[in-house]
Amino acid sequence: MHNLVSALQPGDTVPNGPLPDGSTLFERRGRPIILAFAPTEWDPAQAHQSAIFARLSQEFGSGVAFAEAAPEAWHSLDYRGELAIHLGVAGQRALLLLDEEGVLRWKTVVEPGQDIRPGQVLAALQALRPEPLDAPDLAAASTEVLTGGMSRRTFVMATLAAAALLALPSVVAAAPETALPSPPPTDNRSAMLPVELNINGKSHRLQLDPRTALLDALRENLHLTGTKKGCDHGQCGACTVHLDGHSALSCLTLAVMAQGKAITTIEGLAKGDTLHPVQAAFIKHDAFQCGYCTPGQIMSASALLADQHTRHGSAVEIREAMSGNLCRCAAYPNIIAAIQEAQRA
Amino acid sequence: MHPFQYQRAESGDQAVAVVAKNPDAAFIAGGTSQVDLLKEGVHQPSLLVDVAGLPLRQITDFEGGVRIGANATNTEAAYYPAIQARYPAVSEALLAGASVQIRNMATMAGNPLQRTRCPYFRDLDQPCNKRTPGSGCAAIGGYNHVHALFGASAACVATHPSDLAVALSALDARVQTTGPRGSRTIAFPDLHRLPGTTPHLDTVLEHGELITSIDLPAFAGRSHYLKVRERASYAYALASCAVALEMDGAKIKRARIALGGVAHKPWRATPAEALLAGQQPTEKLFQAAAAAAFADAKPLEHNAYKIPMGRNLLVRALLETSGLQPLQGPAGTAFAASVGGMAGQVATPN
Amino acid sequence: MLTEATGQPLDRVDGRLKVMGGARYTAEWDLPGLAYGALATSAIAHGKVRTLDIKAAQQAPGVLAVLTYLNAPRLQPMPEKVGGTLFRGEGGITETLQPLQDATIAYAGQPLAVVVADTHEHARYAASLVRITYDEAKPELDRATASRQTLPEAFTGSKEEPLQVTVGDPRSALAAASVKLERVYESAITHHNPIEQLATIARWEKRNGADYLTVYDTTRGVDTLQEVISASLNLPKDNVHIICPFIGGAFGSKGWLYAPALLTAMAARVVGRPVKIELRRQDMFSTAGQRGATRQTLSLGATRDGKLTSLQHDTQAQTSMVSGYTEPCARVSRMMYAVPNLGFAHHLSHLNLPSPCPMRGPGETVGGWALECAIDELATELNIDPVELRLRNYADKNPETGKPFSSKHLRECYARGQELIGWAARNPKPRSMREGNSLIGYGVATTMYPAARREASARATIFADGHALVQSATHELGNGAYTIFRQISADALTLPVNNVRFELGDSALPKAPTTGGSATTATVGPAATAASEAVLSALKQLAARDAKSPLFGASEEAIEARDGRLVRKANAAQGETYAAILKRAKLPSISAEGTAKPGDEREQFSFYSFGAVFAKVRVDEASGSIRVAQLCAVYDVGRLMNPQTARSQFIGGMSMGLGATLMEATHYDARNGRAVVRNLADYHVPSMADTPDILVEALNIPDPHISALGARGIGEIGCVGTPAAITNAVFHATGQRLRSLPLTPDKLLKALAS
Repeated sequence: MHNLVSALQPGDTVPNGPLPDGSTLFERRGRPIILAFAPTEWDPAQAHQSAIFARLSQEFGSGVAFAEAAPEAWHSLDYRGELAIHLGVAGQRALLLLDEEGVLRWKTVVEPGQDIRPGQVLAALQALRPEPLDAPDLAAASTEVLTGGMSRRTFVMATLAAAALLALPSVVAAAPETALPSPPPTDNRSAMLPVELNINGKSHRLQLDPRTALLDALRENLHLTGTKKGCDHGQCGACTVHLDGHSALSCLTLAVMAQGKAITTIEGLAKGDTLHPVQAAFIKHDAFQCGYCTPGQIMSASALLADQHTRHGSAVEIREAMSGNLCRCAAYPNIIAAIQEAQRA
Repeated sequence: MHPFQYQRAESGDQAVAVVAKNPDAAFIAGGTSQVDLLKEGVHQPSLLVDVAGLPLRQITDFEGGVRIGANATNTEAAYYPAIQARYPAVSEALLAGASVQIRNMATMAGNPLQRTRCPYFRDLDQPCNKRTPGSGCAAIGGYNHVHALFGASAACVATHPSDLAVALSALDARVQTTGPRGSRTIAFPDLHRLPGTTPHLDTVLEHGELITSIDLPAFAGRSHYLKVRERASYAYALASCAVALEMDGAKIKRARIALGGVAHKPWRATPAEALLAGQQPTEKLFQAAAAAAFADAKPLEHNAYKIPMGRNLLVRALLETSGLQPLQGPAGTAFAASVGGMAGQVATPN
Repeated sequence: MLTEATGQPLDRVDGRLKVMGGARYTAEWDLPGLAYGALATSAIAHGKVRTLDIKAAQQAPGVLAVLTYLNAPRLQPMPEKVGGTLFRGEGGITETLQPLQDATIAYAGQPLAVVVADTHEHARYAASLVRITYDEAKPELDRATASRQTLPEAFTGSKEEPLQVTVGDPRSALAAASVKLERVYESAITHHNPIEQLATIARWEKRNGADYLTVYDTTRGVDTLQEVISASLNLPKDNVHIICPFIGGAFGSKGWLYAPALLTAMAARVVGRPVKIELRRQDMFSTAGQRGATRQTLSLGATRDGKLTSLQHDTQAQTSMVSGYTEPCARVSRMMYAVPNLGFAHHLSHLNLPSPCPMRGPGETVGGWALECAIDELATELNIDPVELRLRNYADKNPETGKPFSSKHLRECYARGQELIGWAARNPKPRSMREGNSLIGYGVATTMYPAARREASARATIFADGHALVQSATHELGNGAYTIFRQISADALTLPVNNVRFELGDSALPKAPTTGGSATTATVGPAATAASEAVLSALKQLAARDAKSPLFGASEEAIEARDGRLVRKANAAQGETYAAILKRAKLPSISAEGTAKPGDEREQFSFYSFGAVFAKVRVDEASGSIRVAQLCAVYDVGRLMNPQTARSQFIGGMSMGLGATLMEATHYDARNGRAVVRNLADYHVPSMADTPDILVEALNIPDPHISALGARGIGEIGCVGTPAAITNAVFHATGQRLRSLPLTPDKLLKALAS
């Protein structure tokens, strides 16, 4: 599927497409609308967005913004839905603001794993916002043409878009890359090595310090943060991954030495939305509390179940085989129950 | 971690040549011990030569015994049928050590080369002759709970932490190496040194000498490993012992005993071995042997508990190896080796 | 009518995220331009920095800055009090030392420099190049001879927690008692060791010309940290934003010690980039808090038939040179048994060791262990069954304050626990039971936990699509907060749980106290309810003013919420959905805040949870190895909000108690105060192989006084009681009284040899 939205730039007219209520985008012209594409799952790490939402509504005057914008003008859309497919954003989180003419005013597309940057949303809004910054008499200028030819009404919608974006479950946004401070160049590239890692079936080419542990390559360089750092010395098991199908500690593996091996991390265990049986059993048996050691526990447990020596182990054999994964919350009895359930599956 | 260059070895000879000519170079294979010590700053090589890819992973039957390639993992060796059946002490020592993940990574050559768990060795702000020759020994007069009863010196009271090494010592395994001066065979009990005045040298290996295999000689007797630890699993031994018994009818023809956690190397209890030879196995005999084994123990301030612990452990190991008492779990598994067993009501598997 | 969500074993709502690796913990925020900080720490425990050579570190590849006390930003002193909690002074909760402000060294491992570099590897290496010389002074490491010894008045300044108390005349009563028992119990230093290490990411921005600091931190108190950072850095509170949606375990840490967060904020300020500092595990043994060692003397006087006449519990606690934190060991003794003469004292020695802080069951875990072991010893002395002895001294009111308990069903706990473990079937004679190589023993202990409740606020928002969001600045650290507060909010809003979300972990949300003291459910639950009621009230007013609403003209009192609708009480058919009211009003959402706090009931009643713990152990005498075969516990903790997450917390607490009993100890070199146990290979936290089968039941009887929810807290009670149950079981198995935690093989072998 081509990504139509990625090709669209502010100022372009958005092609027609179906909304879930049976209407079409063109039929909606005459008033600005917001299209927000998001997964329906909930992510509590977005709570800070709600906080920004609260601050935004204070700064922009919630009464003004909300009273003028009817809720039906913004559309919270499933990112697996028809319009998402039509616009080429299926599976991606995206937010589009269309003005009265159906022209794209603001868009943001967030790759899986990316996150909102609060400062960027504020910066993006500031850019849309008319001068002066303080005490704008917004209500008095309902048809006034503002910065960039944007109508007062569209601006209010932009505010609402941001608010919606922040309040909706799992909707996150990144502002344009230009808003980022670019990191200063690293002054010592000479020591870096080209390293190619095969992770979850995908090849990644990196330039790494030879000292980089596989764990740090995953977490810091590739932002695959499901693999956890608990001790960094092979004494807790939180960093467990599979190397060629066997459980191994990524903290004691130099990334450069993991080349040529099939690396599986917790992010690669489920098949799409379908959990691995061990993952499902962990939820069912409440086999974790804080959740920090959990990816390592699950990687060990799934390897244990794939291994002929340990597959059919009794409770006491599970105890021994899983002892390399410390759980300070001590969900151990529930982990045993979860593994036994997965053994039966 | 100090900066280092990384090189993948092309062959054993090439790896040896490269390391031998650079006094700051080191081998790396499984990495479980090496990377830990790199992170601690205890090891600061300028060059790491990765020998993990060398074709040294095979385990094969050899001269009536078993030849274990240096790069075979601890897991592969532990579950190798001939080892589990004929040298259960080896499997027991391996499976009662570390964790599944570490055993999947650690190599058979690397395991006996792991370094002491003396806490002062790992603390760069404390003196340690093993880490920094001439700096002194903080463990003497310090916290010496896990330290040596035998063979220690005024320079070092550290113990060797490998479980595997204890079993290999009792079985008189042989270490095959290739080094700058060619290939040689080292009897396992001779591989590790006592600290003396040079505790920074753990083994007799020369710089650049690479282990290529560990050979288990033909053995028709029974062997067994027992280990005591403060946590039921995933902990180093406070004390351990490996016993290899060859019987002549109802009598002990030859007994070999190695004690772990009590010295700078697996400690062969030769007085006890001598006392057992030619005798009918009885509990009383075993107690006498255990008393003889620990007669020369020299405890420090915090490790005297290892004397009764080690004696009791040896008596039990002898009782279980000779068949006077049942094993606590199936031979060749962690359950046979783990003194005290796991928590919980369920009996160990049979 | 919807089924009530509270009381249901709802699967954790953050479960899917956690099993997929998608829950984001502090070190995992991906900030553009992130730099990495690494600490160089003190090699000595007492003295001053003489020289700091940072040249090599500065010149190392990738290094952006090296901060030391000579160049680091200046900090304001730690506040006296935050949120009513005493910070400074004897009995105060935190470390008052502000990092990198002067050359003074109070303990080994104290941060002395922060190196910031472009990569993790560069930062760590450069930190190893910082060369420090010292003017070393002899460290004070012995409680008995310490030059600074005090008698702190109150725990964290709380009026409800005096540390020096005498009721009646315990000394005379002891002298007059027909049976006397005086025993000394000692416990080792232990560390929380959550698997997630402490981490902070700090980012400075200019917003409208003002400095604005965002801090992602492994804190369980976003509001407290916001106050500490804003005060320390002299920033307006509103310009400091703290974020922490998930905590990888805390157990008492991550709440009251602030050096890592402050160091990160300082480093980010200096380099003008976001900076992350993730502690190493070894740093967790110096800058993350600990439970200090204790020496406790229990003096019991009793009649021949087992009635306690006197109980004196004196503690020698220890803290650092820069903290007044005192382990409140008499917390169980002060309330557990009906004894007319009761006294306790806490004596505090300041040492050159890292600062302690609360650790799961602060005071109760080791103080309760000492008391419950002493009671067991008395039972042996009197030849009375240990359960029976406890029943003979059963307290119906608090012996210190005279207040009745709000709700106490401890007798049922003892009775049911005896059934679960098979108490009657054991041979009560010590050293009488054996299986194979092992001696078998059974033990019992009473457990309790104060049922605290504090003030908290929440905001509830109902959206025009019928969903609702409830928020409060509390925390998820494995306690199930996301789950149970969703359940509580759903009930208050009469919505299905799937239509309600609960958010937390952000200082911009309505205020909640630092999560701890097993008080979160009782504190934030009523706040979520209050906010939900407030938003429903606003919605009622909206509907009543709308001529198109079937509720037009109705008074607020005449309207009630039912199944996601507002209806007339008199006629439930007259009503409409929340969504319909909002849509007609063209409102995308409606919000309201609510605050809840305890009231007069605290003056009338003594609030505690109770329980009985039973242990069966196997002791291998030859090696000194102790394994727990089974743990059974029955708890009276009020009404359970979620029996599944509650059971997990009980089990987790009991296992942590098991660890403290059998294996956990941090040793410091007695000559120089450096930790010699400072990694997870040498500090043993229980593994799965150490964890027995655990049978847990809760009576689930609502507390009629604590709040409308009837729920007391459950986070710590599992950790309390378990150590004494195991220790008493070891006595039953071996005939040996071990009075020093942990019960490692060396101690048992020594006892058996004597």
